[in-house]
Amino acid sequence: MQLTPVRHELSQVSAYCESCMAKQGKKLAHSNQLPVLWCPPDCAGSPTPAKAPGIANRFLDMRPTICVGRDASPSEAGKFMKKLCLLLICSIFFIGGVGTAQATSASATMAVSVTVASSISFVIQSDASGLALTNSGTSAVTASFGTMSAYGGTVPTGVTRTVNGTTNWKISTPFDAVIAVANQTSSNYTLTAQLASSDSTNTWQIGATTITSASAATLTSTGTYGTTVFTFSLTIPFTEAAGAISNTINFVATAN
Amino acid sequence: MPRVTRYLTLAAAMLFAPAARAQCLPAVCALAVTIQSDASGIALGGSGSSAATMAFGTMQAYGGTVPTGVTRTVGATNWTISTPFDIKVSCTNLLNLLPCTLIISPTYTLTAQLQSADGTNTWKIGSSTLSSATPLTLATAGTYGNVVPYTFALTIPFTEAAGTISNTINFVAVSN
Repeated sequence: MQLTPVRHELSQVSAYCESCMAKQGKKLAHSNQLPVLWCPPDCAGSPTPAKAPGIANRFLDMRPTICVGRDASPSEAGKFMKKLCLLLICSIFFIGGVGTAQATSASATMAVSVTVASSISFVIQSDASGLALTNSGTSAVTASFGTMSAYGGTVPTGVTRTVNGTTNWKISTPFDAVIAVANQTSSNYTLTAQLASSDSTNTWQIGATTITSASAATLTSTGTYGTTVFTFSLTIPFTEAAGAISNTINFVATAN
Repeated sequence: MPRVTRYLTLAAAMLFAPAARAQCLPAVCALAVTIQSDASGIALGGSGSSAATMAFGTMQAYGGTVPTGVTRTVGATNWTISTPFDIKVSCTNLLNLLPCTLIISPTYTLTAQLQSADGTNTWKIGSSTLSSATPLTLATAGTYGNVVPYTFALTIPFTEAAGTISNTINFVAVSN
């Protein structure tokens, strides 16, 4: 069986084909979906001229046969098929190949959002004239004086040793507090300091202010943002036994 | 050669010949711009679509939390948050014949523009500054289908009051 393109009314072709096949002792098989018509090639030709089929009929007839059917020789159906197939191919060629490209566009959007919170920065760094701090430039520095003695010994670079008669001796060094504020209207800041652990023997000072663990001592209430030099000092009585002295000073800067 | 074979051969030649891929009509090609998260960047909302959102949450110049994929740089007078993201411009054939990446002009021009003016903050893609006045050209000969990473950056001056900053960046791709 081969699919046969026809451009005659289906009823005519069907009748002819059915009659032709009947002569051969065969029976024509109709598809449930017109115009699929299965007819052997030797019975596909119609002796009856087309009965001026309309466009609809032509398309109906052609649907199952486009470019894949075998037309009944040398019928009009074959020529029609050829024209239609060429038209189809040319259409594909035109659409897919030789059309003039024009600018096309597309768009996309990206919504960006961030909620800005005010913040304050406080870092401690080594002063040019002071002891070199460990982790300088961060908010957690270490000032290690090493081993020192009231008399003799070595005084680290940037450290000043002062002996007060026969009562005590003091070591001091400058350091820098760098405080900045962002996204907040503030003209100055308040800076406090407090010892982490109590020390009833030695005296801890920032500038002229004594630092204790009991409460936060205010170093300044009108600090200017930027870099400010403070001087740390530790006073050690002569009566204190030799050994390591350590503590931590907690600084808090608050924007005014 | 049977006629059927000839027809099929001719049709195939028309469809797949290199010359036939040179161009195509706009009617059969759909450009699409999609924005997607970069592997090294912040996770975008609506990633892979043409309407993405980049939400940084609450951030501050000093301290606080920096979202994964975001870089915060603090300067003397301002601070910048930046993150990479990806843009893909594709051209899809509406007839499902062939990808238009092969059929039409192989390149596109991509621009970006701020939707609303911002006289305080600086919005950048790469090293170029975005504005609402004129589109910024990101690519003049982009290749369809390629995922191109860009870096978004927003610079916020210290003097700006705390609060929410938001805007929309409009991307437009035009086939060349």
